Amino acid sequence: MRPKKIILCVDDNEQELTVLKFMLSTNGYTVLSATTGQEALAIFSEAQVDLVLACLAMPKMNGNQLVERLKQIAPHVPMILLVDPQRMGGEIYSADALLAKKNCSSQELLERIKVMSARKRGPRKGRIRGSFLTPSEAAAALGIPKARAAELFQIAKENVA
Amino acid sequence: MPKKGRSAKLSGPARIASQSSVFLNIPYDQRFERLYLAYIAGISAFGLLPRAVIEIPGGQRRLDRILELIRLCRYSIHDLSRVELDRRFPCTPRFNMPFELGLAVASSEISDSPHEWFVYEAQDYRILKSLSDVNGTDVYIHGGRVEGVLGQLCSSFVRADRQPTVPQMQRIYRMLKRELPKLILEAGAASPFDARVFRDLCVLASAGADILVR
Repeated sequence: MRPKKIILCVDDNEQELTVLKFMLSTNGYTVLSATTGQEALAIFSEAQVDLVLACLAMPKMNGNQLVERLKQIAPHVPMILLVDPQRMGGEIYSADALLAKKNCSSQELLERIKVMSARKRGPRKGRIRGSFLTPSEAAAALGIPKARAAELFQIAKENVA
Repeated sequence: MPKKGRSAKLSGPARIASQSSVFLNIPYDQRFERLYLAYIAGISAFGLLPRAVIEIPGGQRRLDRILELIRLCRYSIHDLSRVELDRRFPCTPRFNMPFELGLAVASSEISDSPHEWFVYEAQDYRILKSLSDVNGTDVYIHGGRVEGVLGQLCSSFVRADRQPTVPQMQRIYRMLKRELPKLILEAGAASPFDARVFRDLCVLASAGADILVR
C-alpha cells in the first residue's frame, strides 16, 4: 500500500484550519497543521512533508514569507498559497500555485493538490539515482546548525541569484 | 572478521550523504588556497559533498580521522602536485598525499562498498617518475590553475547526474573567494583551512550550486 501523502496546512484562523484538516484527512491525506509561520518551519524541518498549503494573510510571518523560507530548505516540495485576490499587492510570490481562498471549491482544491503532489513523484531533486545532495542535506551531513545553514543559503542567494 | 563497509553501517540520510561524499586529499597551505576553493566549488557544483580531514576536531588521532573519512566517502580526490621539496628546513617532500592515496586504493580493494579514487597533478608526466605505481591510471592534470581543476572535475564526474558547466563553477568559486574573509572573521579562524570555515564554504557552495545548476 502506498503511504499517505503528508500535507502541511498553515493558517492563523483555527476554524478554517480545522475545516481544511477535516476535508484533507477524509480524502486520504495525513495532515499536519500550524497556526504560525514559525511553527510551520519547525514542523517542516522535522517531517517529510509532500505539499504545503498556506494562507497568505497571517500576522508576523505571512504566507509568502513562509513559502520563501521553505523553498530555501526544500525547493522541490510543491507549495500552494491561499489568497484573497482583493488584498493582494504587487508582491512576487514564491509559491507554485495561488488559489483564491473564498472562491475555491473543495473539489478544485483537492484536484489541485492531487496534481501537484503527483508531480513530486517524478525525479526528485536531490535524490535522482541517489547521487546528489540538496544544500540542506549537505548542511546536515556536515553538522551545521539549521540557523547557520539558513544564513549561508541567504548569502548564496544574494551572491548568485 | 566481517569487512567494514559503508553500506553495512549507514542507513537513510547518512547513507545518501555518504554516497555523495568526496574525500579531498590536498595540501592545506596558503599557496594552495585558490585551488582549495576551486575544489570545494567544483565538487559542490556536481551536488557532491567535499569532506576533508580538517573538518574533524583534533582530539582524534589524525590517521584514524583519515581512515574514517575514506571509509565514509564514495569518492576521493588526491592532488599530488606538491611533490617538490619544502623550502623550510628540513627540506623534505610531502608524503601525506601519496600516503592517503595508498589508503584510499587499499580501501577500495578491501572494502565491500565501492570507492572510486582520482589522482590530480599540476604537471603532465611528472607522476610517471614520482609515483610510477599508478602508471596506467588516468591522471587529471590541472596545471595549477583554477580553471584546470574545474575542467578536470568535469572529466572525473562525467557520469554524475548533475552536470554543471565550467562558467557555473567559476561563479560559485568567485562567490567563495568573495565571502572567504568574512567567514574567516566570523569563525575567529587564522586561515581558510579551519574546520568551521571549511564547513561554511561547503554549504555556501552547495547553496550556490542549487541556485545555478539545474
